[in-house]
Amino acid sequence: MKPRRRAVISIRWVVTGVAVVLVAAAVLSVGAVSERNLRRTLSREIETRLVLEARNLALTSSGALLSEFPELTLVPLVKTMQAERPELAFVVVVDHLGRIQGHADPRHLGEAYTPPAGLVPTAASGLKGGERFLGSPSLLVVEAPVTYANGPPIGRAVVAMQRTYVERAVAAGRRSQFLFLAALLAVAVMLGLVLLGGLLKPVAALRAGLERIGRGDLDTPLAVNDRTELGLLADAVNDMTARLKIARVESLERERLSHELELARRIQQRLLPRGRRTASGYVLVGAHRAAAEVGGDYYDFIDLADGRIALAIADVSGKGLGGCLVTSMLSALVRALHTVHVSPAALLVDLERHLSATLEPGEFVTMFYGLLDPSRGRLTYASAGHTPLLLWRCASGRVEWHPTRGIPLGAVRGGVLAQTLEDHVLELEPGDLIAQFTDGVSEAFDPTGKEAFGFDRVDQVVRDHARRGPDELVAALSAAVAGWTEGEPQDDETLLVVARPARAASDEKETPRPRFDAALLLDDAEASGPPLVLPASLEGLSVLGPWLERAPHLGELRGEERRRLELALYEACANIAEHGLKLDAEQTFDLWWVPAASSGALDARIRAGYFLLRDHGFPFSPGRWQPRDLDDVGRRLQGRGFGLDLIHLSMEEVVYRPATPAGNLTVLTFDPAKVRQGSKEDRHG
Amino acid sequence: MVDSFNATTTETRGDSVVVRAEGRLDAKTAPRLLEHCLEARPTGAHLVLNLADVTFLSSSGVGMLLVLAERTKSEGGSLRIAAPSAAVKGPLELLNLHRFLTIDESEDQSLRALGA
Repeated sequence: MKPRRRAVISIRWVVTGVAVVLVAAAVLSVGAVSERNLRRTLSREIETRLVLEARNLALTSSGALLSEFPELTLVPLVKTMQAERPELAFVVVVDHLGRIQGHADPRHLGEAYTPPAGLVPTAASGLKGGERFLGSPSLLVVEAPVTYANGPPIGRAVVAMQRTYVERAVAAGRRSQFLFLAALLAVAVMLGLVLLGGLLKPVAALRAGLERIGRGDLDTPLAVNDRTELGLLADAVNDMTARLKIARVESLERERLSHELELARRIQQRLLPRGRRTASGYVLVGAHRAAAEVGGDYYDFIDLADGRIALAIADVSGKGLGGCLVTSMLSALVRALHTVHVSPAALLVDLERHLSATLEPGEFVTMFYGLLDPSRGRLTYASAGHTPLLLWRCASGRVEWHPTRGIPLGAVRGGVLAQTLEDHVLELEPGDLIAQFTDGVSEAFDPTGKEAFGFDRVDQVVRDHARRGPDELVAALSAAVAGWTEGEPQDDETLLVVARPARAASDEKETPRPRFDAALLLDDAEASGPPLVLPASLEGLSVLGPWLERAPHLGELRGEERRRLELALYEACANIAEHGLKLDAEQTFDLWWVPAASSGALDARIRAGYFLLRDHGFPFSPGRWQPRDLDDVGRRLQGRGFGLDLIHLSMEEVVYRPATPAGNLTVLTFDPAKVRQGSKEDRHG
Repeated sequence: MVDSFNATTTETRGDSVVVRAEGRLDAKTAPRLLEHCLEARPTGAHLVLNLADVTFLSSSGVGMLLVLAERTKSEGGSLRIAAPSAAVKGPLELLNLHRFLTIDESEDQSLRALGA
């Protein structure tokens, strides 16, 4: 997720701003109040001083006014006063007749004193008898009576002051007060910032930590050691991180487990064959519906070398990974053991022996295993506690159930299984059909959980749909069960239906994709001329030598190369006569040498051709040939089985195609150069 | 077709018996040679098998030779193969079995080795 960028307003500045505004408001209001007080105090002080000046002047003037020339004393006195006190507007001494006797400017002496306009008496404290305090918008005037020896007034002393002086004094006081408050404010802001910086430091750590958690790092705890609420917040975050970590581990574990279960389910699905198969006209249809939980159902069709088909279906009691493991083992074991056992019952007993170590106590496997011989329509089977086999008869339209006494694999240890298992044989008529399923089908419960689907309903669906063929039947059964449960299957549901073709003719051929297209090689061989027809007897094989002598190109071979070719061909033919045709002298088989239409060196001509053997005996495929260890005396003493070694050591390439529609085919190529090289190595080795 | 194989006891010297085989030694004829050798030789005797005139040796013949070697050895005797033809040497060397058999260049050499 992309982090959203946005404008950030720092708490520090918000708080500081608020503090500044508050302090400023406080300062201003305090300033306003103190200014009023200051103005009042100053005014009173100035008034008092003015009154005292006037009183002083009156005292000083009393003697002068009585003298012959009062101006001689009073003019210098007034001049000095005004010079010393520039704030005084004027200073006048008046005699009892109202004439000016003292003035800074001597020209006004003797004039009648006229007070400035607009003066009105003003209340003032501390006035003595005869003293007057007058005020105008621009002046403050004090008149003090001049007396002599407490006699009647002989004059007046008048002192006037500009009102602006008071204003100036107030302004000066206000300025100093403002400077002090401004200094206070600055200190407050600084202190606030420093304090907030300290307080908010953990916020930065918290923020960095939370961002780290956001990025998925749950291992580094927040290192906030703080005693404020921020410390508690950090503790809460650390606590949360620890729990988140546990939750994340649990969630990862759950995810891993569900991934493994999914893997197990996929493995299980891969073990099952893909849907539909045909063989010799028989149609084999399997269907598997997996439950939400990994189940333990398994089924398989395996083509045997002799043309028969092995059918297996099993239900492992354990579910989940354990069940899946058993299922996988089962699959591998069946694929390994089906070649070993001719009897289905014996295979099941052997399976139990191999599985017993893997199965938990109480865990068991119900299993059906059958061998279908398509050519005869014969099914040989054994069932270890599995649901009964269903057989639908085409001719009558009836359903037959074939239960067995077999107990499940692993249910009772100690070899009891073998006593309960036996091979049963069923003959399928054309059009007949068999069905096998796991109990996920018969024991599928309806949504109320009270009633299972049951065998009767299987029976009914088979009777209704079997005549339309195995594909339709499987679809109908699956749909019926799905409709019954109304939802996801509660248990794995596995169905296996095999139908014998209504007519014996098989129109669906099935051959594995050959490396050598045996059918095409056979066509070429038949076109090249008649084969050497060999009887299935050992004496008959002595004709190989003379035949080689006459064969194109081969007749030119001499010495070891010739002997080696004859030897390998003899062994291949002896195998067919002895093992495929059981030395039945009535039977024959064919050998072609198909030379390539090429010229050039003898080696190249022979290498380009091929031998083809065709027989109709028991199909034989030795699988992958490997050189054997002959140091084993027991093996040497057996004195047999060297034939395959001789064939593979002498021939360039050997390909077996058993049970093709044209019979068993063996293709061999020969390279004389390889023989020469080999014998050289032998000599030197 | 008549079997072009024949086995004859040519000589008995001391406790050594010489058997000579000719023709094809294959699945059909190998049992006959084995039978002949076991009958021609008293229990515990040494056996010299002259295969100079064997024209074909199949896997059954190889097997027979191995069985014969083990049988004589287990009864206290021994088997020596004398003057084998190319048709005999080929398969034995191909199968790397010659190391399990005692092979001499000539019948005389075999008899000398046996001290007879």
